[in-house]
Amino acid sequence: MSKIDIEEIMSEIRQEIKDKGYSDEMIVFGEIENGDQIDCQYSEEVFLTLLREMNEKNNIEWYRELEGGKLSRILKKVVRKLTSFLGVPVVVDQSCFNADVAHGFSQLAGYIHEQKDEVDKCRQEIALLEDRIEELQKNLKETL
Amino acid sequence: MKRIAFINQRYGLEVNGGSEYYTRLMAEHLAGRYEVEILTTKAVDYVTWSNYYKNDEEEIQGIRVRRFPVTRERNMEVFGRVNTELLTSDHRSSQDEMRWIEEQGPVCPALIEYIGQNRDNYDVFIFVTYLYYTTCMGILRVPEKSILIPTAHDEPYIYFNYYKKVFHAPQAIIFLTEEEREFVHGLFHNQQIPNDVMAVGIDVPQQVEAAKFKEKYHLEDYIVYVGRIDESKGCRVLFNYFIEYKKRNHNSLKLVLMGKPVLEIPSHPDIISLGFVSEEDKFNGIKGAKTLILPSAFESLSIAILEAMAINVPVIVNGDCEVLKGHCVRSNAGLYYTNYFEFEGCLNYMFSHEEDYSVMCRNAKQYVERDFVWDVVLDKFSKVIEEWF
Repeated sequence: MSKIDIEEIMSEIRQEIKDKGYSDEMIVFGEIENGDQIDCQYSEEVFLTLLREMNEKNNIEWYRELEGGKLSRILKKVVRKLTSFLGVPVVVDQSCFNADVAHGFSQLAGYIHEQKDEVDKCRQEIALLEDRIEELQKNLKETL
Repeated sequence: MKRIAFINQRYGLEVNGGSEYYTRLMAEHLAGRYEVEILTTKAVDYVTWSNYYKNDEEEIQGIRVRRFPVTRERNMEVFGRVNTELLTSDHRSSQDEMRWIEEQGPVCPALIEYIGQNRDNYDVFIFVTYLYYTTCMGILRVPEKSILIPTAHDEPYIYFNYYKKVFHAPQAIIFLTEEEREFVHGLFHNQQIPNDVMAVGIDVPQQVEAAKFKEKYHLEDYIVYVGRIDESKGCRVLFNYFIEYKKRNHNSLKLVLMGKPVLEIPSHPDIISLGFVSEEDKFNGIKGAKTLILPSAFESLSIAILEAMAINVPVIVNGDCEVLKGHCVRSNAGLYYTNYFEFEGCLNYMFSHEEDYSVMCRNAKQYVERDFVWDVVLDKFSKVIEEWF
């Protein structure tokens, strides 16, 4: 068996915890919220990945390949045919709704992107203004 | 050919439970060497013990199963009261403990009667799990022909006086781990009873495809939990720890859960519950994970850990469980934690130490191939039977 020692690794981990000054008292667990969306860290990568998937998968097919033996596939085809008058309009409406939602989220992504640009611009202006204020304060001091 | 009977509180393909699954595995694998029968109840639900199976006898995967009716369903309110009284009391009488055993159940006098009346028709009676009525009563009817496989761990009930009788009764004891043997000997001082340590062979599919699982469920970096999602399995703490981990560590790691939830799962974008999955998905999912995580503090063996190791996946476990910690230390293929920061430390160590991680992956499989192969296990088991019965 190749050589690592788990107890040594665990000692290393514990030492690192000690060096960083971490202790159990630092962490307080709140009640876990079930059902409602709890706070989560925003990740642009995750958001864009989900958005891509929404755009690729929003269309729902009523007619899809049926699995099973020959007889069971025939039976399923018959059932599908008989219920299509009910099912197809529902599926079409759902696909339209999904497309609207995907489009809405794409708009949101666009808005987030625009706002990011705006925020970046504002940050740059703030930085320039802060430099200017510092310069003016320096000049004022020298004058006085 | 010797005739042996396994006694377990439940038995069936649809039964979920560690000791029940262990019993089925052992019975099916020993069937080639002995005439094997199962003596069990008609219950499938471990909460109420209500009678579910209709037939008194049936054959499951080539094993003859004799079922006996439970005469009294468990009333959880009464059991809860009795349980609390006993656990909080300074003094427990033998009547109190007997009452607890009956309320715990499954009360199945017909099974106990059958054992007594048929002692001469079997060469060995193998009682799996010390805790329940079936073992508590049954083993005292045929002590000279009994093997006890206690699946013991440090829980309050094992300290009841009644269990001294149970742990001193059998002709031989089989432990699943060294930790279990040490614990039982330390508590009951029954080293004089012949004993050995052996677990099970671990079977994994020939082909395991992580990529297939990742594509199916749209996953990339994740850790996996397999098993019943239950407070008693440490899942609530796992959820707390993982959510805290995500707040403190900005990465795309997800926690994937595979198993039946009996606890509400937090609504968090990085906690993905897949429910009960197929065997194919289970192994593919474990293979695709960075690590398998087991937060339970009470495990007798943990087949899930061994299955992960058998396919080169290291593990992170609750260090308060001596059995799980023992697997990590003996195999050098897993890390363990006893608080949040150690949990975080273990995860980050595995992500940041590629070389050590690769070594752990190799060590994991070697550990299982050394100690958890069917031929080895069955030979050891047969040795106990042939030597002592």
